[in-house]
Amino acid sequence: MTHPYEDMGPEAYWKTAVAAPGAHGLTGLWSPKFAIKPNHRIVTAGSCFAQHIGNALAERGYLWTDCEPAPPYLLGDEARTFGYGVFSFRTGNIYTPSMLLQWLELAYGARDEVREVWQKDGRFFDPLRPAIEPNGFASEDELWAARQSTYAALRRAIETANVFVFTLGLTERWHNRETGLEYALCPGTVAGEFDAEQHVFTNTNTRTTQRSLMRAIRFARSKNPKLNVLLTVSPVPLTATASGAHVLTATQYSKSVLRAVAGMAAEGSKHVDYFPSFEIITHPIFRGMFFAPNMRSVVPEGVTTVMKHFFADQTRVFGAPRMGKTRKRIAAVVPKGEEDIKCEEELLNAFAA
Amino acid sequence: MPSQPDPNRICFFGDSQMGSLRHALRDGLTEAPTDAHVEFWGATGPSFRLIEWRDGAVRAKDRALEMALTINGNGRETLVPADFDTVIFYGARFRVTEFFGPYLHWIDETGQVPSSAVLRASARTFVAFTRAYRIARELAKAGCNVLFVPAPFYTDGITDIDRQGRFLGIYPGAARATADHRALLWGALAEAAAQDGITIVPQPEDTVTRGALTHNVFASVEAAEQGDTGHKSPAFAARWMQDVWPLTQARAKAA
Repeated sequence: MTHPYEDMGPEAYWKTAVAAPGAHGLTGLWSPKFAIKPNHRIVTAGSCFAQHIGNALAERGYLWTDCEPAPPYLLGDEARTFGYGVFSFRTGNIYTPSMLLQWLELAYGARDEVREVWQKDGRFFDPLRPAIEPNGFASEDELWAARQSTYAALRRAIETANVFVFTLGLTERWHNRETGLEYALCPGTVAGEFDAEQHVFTNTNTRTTQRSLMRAIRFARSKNPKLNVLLTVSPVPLTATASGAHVLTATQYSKSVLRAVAGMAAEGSKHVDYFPSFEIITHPIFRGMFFAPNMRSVVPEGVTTVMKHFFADQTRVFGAPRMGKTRKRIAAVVPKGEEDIKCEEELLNAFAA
Repeated sequence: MPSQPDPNRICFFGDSQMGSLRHALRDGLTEAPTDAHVEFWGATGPSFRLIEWRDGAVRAKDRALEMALTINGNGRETLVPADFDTVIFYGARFRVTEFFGPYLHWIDETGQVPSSAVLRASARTFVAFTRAYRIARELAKAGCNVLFVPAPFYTDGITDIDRQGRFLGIYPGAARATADHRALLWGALAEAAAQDGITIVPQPEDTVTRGALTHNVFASVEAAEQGDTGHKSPAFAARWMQDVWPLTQARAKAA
């Protein structure tokens, strides 16, 4: 008598797929549905782990697309401090699927704008991304103008991308009871004032999380029907929980829901896929080796391992990518040398005795 | 018997842009304040990198030193802060066009600067990029009144500056900049420099055309023949100095 397990490959068995190769010998963790090629425009958003994926893709010569690049002379860490170059647009972290949906709907005018602004010490903070201006905006006008720029960048990203990589981070969320506006952070933490009457905490479950995620994906694909969506789950534990549970169990709940929902979203859709970076970082086979001593931050070796699997599995399924020339960001340049023409004679003639 | 007031000791420190200023002074197009004692010191562009701040003074070597001595005419080998009340950086490879071009284009495309804090941070980075500015910072730290007259905008109508790969070809939006936009950027640079005790003197508005260029009337002699968009006429230097001299006087009075 035969049974289905007889025809399974070695990847289906723990002994051959995990125990024998060990942590560093794992292969075939992911069977990608669609090819991600170096010439594909890739945009990234979501929880903080998404920025590692964007950086790694760009470093490998893939076309990670920054739709809201830093302005001239805002470079490196300083640019990142202002939320540039972290994700493909200056939204800051988008932790929850409902927050992603909110950003998309606001960017396309499919949801009424809520003109809420947080204030602190005479400065103005955007409740959707309070950290992107570390000291706040100088005025409300400036804040709203910057928001419009980000909406434009988000629209550009969605409409021009081939692949949208979204990293799910949290299920815990804060929103305004009256307006429904979801905040990036609990009011009062970075700026604003907490009001127990107005500010509502919810911890979404698989049903509500999935509904938001599917609506967000449908919305994005309605603007760009060719858009492929690659979901990942951030392996980074919660900094804090408002759920009343221990932060460790709250983390496990949150990540379990997100992991399940990502899998459910990918199931049955050829345009939505799930890449298991979460498992690569957190699974016991790796014995926590990819976490820093605080057991929260992911060390660079973890990101390297994640991306090694990403590229290896893409190659396994679709063949080796044909890499073009290394892409470099085009720096703002002004042709130099025009004033160097005859500059020596210009000066020395003037000062000749 | 009243004693003679101490002269206001002014040193212009810069590159080839000082040539037009020298002519302007010689030709009487501009005049230093009566109590001023004026010296020049510096070198032309490519040699400028042979000038550095070291051991509490600005020092030049090799070709730059030869030039500094020629330009100075008083045998001054080093520029020591205590020898001057005011040091005016003139040109000095501080090309504000490199800041104005991309930023004005950005404003033209988006209708605004990203935020005032972002603009301030960009301005701080830009000024610190320039070698001469870093020297200026040391002089200000040493107690000098430091003024900065940047390299002027390119002259209009000399070369095909709108062509692809040229200034306005790369930043076409800059050509549509308004005086308000320029004021915003000058303000950011001034604020950044003020943190280092340096006063940046903006290029006079009445010399500016097409967003971020200098009026052709201020072109240097033979600019067209030589394709020289950088250097300007003595009249241009004289015009800018109208805004600079009062700042040297204010310092002298304060002292």
